[in-house]
Amino acid sequence: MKSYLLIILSIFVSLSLLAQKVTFQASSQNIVAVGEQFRLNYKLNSQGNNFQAPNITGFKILAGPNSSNSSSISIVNGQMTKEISTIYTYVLQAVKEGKYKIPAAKINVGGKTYTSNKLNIEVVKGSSKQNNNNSNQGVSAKDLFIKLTPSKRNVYIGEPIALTLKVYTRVDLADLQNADFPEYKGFYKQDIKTPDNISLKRENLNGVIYNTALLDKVLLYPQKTGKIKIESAKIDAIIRKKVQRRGRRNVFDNFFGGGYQQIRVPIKSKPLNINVKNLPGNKPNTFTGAVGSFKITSKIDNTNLNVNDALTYTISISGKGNLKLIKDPELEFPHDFDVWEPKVNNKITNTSTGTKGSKEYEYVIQPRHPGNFTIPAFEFTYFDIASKKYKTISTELFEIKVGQGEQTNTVVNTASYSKEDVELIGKDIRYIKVGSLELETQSEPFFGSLNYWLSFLGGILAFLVIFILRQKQIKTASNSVLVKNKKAKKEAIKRMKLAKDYMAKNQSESFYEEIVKGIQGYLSDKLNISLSEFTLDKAIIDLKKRGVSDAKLEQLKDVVHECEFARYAPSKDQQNLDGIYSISVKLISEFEDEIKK
Amino acid sequence: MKYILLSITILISTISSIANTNMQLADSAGIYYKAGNYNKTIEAYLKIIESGEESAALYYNLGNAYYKSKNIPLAIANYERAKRIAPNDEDIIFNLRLAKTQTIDKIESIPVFFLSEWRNSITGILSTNIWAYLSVITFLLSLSLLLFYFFSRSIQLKKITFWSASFLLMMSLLSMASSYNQKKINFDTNYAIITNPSVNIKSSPDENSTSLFILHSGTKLQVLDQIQDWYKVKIENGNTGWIKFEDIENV
Repeated sequence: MKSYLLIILSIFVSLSLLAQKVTFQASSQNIVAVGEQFRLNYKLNSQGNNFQAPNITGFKILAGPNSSNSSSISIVNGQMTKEISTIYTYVLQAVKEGKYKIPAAKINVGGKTYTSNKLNIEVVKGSSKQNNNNSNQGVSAKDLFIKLTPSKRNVYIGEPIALTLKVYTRVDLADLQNADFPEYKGFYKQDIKTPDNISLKRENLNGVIYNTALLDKVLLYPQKTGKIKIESAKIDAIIRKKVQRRGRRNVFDNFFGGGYQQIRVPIKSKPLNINVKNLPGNKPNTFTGAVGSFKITSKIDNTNLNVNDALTYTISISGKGNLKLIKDPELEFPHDFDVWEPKVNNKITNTSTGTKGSKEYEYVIQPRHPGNFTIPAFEFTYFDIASKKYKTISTELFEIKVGQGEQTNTVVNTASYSKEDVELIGKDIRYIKVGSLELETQSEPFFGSLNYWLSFLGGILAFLVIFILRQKQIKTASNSVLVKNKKAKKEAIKRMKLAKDYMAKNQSESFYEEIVKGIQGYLSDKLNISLSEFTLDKAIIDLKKRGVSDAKLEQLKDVVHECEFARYAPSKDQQNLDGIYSISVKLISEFEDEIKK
Repeated sequence: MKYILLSITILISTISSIANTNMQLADSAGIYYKAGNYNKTIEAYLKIIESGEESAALYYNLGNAYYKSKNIPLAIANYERAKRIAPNDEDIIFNLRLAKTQTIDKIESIPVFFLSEWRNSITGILSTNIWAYLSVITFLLSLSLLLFYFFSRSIQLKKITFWSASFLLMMSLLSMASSYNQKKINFDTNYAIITNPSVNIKSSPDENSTSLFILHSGTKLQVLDQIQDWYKVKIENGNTGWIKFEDIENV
């Protein structure tokens, strides 16, 4: 039984030893006023001995070092923890303005020497005393206010600003309620982690010591240019005030804490103006709004694969700046690669100097056809705030070899391309027409123009002119027949007269000749038969057509035959000549009557 | 006589010099286009048009340059001009269709009666000018055949010439009608393209009148009437309204 107890006890001791790590920490106010009394504590979470006090200079030691011990035991889920602490306390008074250092103290724990941290304490002239002006119910704005403090007031668009909201107080602050923080319009806001519980800290503001508490801390990325106003923050402070009563003082009041009164004071920060400049104008095409300083890397897990095998291509953008606002990269993969939506991994933390971390895009790619392909380099441009210049960085380019692999799948997969995809790839206008442009002077359309109708009119006119001319020609041709017709009788009479003369002179040969010529000439003119074509038979046929009687035609034949005969066998018969002459004249005059038309 | 000769030679030389500079401009525009300098390309082509010369290819190329410099409304306007001269050029039709896919307004056009659709597709085979020349030539041929008919003695020849003359006369009349139809489609109706990104079509030629509907750049309109700097326009679904002169580009 005894041994059991011993074992349990030893376990507890060893546990407590394991759990505890010795810390030895100094703490004090960091700002004090001249003449102010304050405490300097050294806290050890163990039992120690041989405390070696630091050499404190510049302060008056009013008391100390006094040590106090405390211990606590807690059992959580059956596990017991024991906490021991020793605190060594000094009470100091500041004597003179300046910055002082308090060196480290030392202590022995279990044969080991531990050294505390060093402290810096600033002594200022101002008074840290609380304003105890009780006649005024309110609190002056000098004693209690909240303030928005930006890290910069002149920034480029996209450049981060750290904005802190702090409460400054010189009165006894009990609580803060109804916080109403500004909306930060025109900014992209990122919260910076602040401690969960508000702790007061001393701060020197223009020689006055305030207790300050950090209320909120944000990182702002301006989204537009120009003067952007940050509206004021509002909060209700609850302060504690001592109540002074006239007349008899109740002893119990103070004793039970009744001498204090809580007052609600609404406070408001001053609005802020931030001046946002636009980025310089010569933006490269690849710039998508990244501001800060970045690095870019890419990797690929496989460059030698078969059709339908997948490969992973990763692009990582890391650095400091408006990482969250960076647009996803637009990568140009070869057209007949299947590319899935990238998986995006964000590893981003917000600090007061900007957002830090990396953004990783993981693409899964599946080649559909064998061949050699190139994944082109990705160019990323950001605006470097430090050098105020655009910087372009680029990933490396990857060559990918895709082998044939198993043949079966490819056919199925090409079928999965919709027609629209094909059309989208080829969606460009056709090229310009080269060579002669066949320029012509600008003109109204030919149809309906004056020239158009004139060409019709001209055609009709030409037609008419040709028609009329031709008609006339035909007419004149027929006219010549008429003239000849008229001429025939005259000519015949002439010849007959000549024949008569020859008859009188008794030149029978010439007489016959004239008679024949006279008849022939008359008939050729009258019947419109040219002399060269003229034969007696032709003339007789023609005359017959014109209705001349056969008896007359017989007479004509006889006369012509007789004349021709007589020409070659002349007879001197005067009577015969007379007869032929009179018959010829008679025939011609008869023909003249009958062939009128 | 001397002076006439002189003035003729001067006229010819000026015409040929215009033609020469335009050839150079067209060549340089082609080079600019190839190099991707579309603003210079546009500048060169506009200079040619300013000199008073035109062709379907010129407007087509200008339209391409506008398309490449992302000015879709002016690209469409120039394709339409090119199409007017060469209604059946495949390149023009293709690029015009592609440019139109980038416009915003989708207007359902009123269906055309199928007979007039046939008629238009037949007359669309040739341009109005070619139809017009054809009608003149067939008419003149028909007249000369008629002369043969009138003055020929042979009955066989008379028969042939009569029938072919009447056939040609019919052809002439048909081409005349086609030319008229093409002219009506392409020249007598004034079209315009909206160049302003977004325009309110008003109910009357007045800035303060009611806005009837909103149209966007690249939409084709038919211009019906004009009062000062307001145009009365009709869109393809038959609605009419008034639009300001500066918001459109005439085709």
